[in-house]
Amino acid sequence: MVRGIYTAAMGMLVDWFKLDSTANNLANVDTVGYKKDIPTFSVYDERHVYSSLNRKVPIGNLPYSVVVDRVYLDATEGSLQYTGNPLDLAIVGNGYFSVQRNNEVLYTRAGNFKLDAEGFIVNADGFRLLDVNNEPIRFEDGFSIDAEGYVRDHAGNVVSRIAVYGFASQQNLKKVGYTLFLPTEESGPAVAVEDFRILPGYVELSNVNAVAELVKMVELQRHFEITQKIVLAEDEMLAKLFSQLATLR
Amino acid sequence: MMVSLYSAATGMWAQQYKLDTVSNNLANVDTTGYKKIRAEFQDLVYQYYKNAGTPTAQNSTIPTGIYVGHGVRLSATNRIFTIGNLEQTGNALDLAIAGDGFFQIQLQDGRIAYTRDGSFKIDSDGRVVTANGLTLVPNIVIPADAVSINVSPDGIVSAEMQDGTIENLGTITLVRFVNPAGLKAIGDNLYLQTASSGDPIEGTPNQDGFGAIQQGFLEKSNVDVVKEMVDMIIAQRAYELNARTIQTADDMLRTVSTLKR
Repeated sequence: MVRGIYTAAMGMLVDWFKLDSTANNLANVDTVGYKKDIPTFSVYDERHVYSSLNRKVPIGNLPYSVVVDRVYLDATEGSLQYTGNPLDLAIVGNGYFSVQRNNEVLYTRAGNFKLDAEGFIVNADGFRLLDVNNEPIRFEDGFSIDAEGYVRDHAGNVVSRIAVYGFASQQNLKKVGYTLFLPTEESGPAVAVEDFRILPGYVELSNVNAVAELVKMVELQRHFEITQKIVLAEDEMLAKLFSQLATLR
Repeated sequence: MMVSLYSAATGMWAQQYKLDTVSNNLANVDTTGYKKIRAEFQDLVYQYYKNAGTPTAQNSTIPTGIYVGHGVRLSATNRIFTIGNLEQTGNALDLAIAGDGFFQIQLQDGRIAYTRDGSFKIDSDGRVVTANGLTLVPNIVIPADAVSINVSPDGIVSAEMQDGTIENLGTITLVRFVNPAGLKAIGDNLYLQTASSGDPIEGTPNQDGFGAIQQGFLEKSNVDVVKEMVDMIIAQRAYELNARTIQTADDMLRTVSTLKR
């Protein structure tokens, strides 16, 4: 009926979406290997505005409303924390571990690995860590992992090598939850990288910056309140209009 | 619309759990052979409002899609089996394992439990038992007229008798597991094997990757007090952050409710 109400309402919905996204980031402030989400917004519909005298020459654009444009993940490295646990692995620089779920290969930077009962290196869900030949990595007994990803048995012989993959555009990886990622058309396929460094005994913490998220939350809340005022103002105008129309009659 | 409320609630729940593990670790900071526990988290599944690759009106495709996450979950409470500091006690029956391995202890119901707590005693029958009176396996009996007890690094127990002769009393064997983190803690510093720990592999101390036995030493807990205190601070602050999210969501809902007067 009155466009301003709808435009303001869309702005409020976008704020809600921002809050949902921020809430997820803050909930994962302590999740190993978590990468934060950044939603972006765009003008949904723009119309040319014409002078009332000359309907042919546009005098500017009027945005009708705002919508969530897309969400991308911020792939910057989280800080590293020393744990001393030999199965905690952190990748310095770009790169992802590959783990196997059924017949599917997923990628992760959460390096808090464990052993399963058969001696395979697994993540918290039991998905096996893969080596450069796409085979699960197994330890019978006594082992070590070095910075190049070589896995050695207790006699010092190389058993296998942990595979590390990179992507052309990490920001476009698809999040599947459980700190796992899948490549998409836009991210490009997984490509084995060579110039990585693995730090055993460290984990990569979440890259969520609590202060920044908190500031974002305060900001969106205030914006939400302001937009609500606009809806109320539009409503008042309508009320006035109707009451005056009524007296005219 | 209420996604943020639930995400924040999962965050508060997760941090509460983290605090529970931290407090258990701190409570056991002085427990012989205690292994610390670490709470680990994962993000939950994502809801995709728009998938990447969806065509847009402008004759292009959305590069990344629109999605929102649903918070955090506890993925594991992982027991960390790094070795604690060895502390000298001088007591002949205090045994520490310098390296991999567990002592085997027979429970009252006959099952075998495993421990790294080597503070052994002698019961009235001369048997080597734990502080709770459970016997060590294989069982070692110390003769009443023994003057001193000697345990070698590879587990051979011998006693010097009153007449000066040395008597061999048996050998302490150790076991290890492919995945010690999969052991089930039953309290009293004891663990039981599970399907995820694998079967026990028995062996002689100081051989085949087993740790050597150090007589007169005890293994302290591997809890690092400073790290636990830092973890406690982080858990509390993360809890507050998530509480703040709930407050914000609540305020925004109140704002919505004033739209209609």
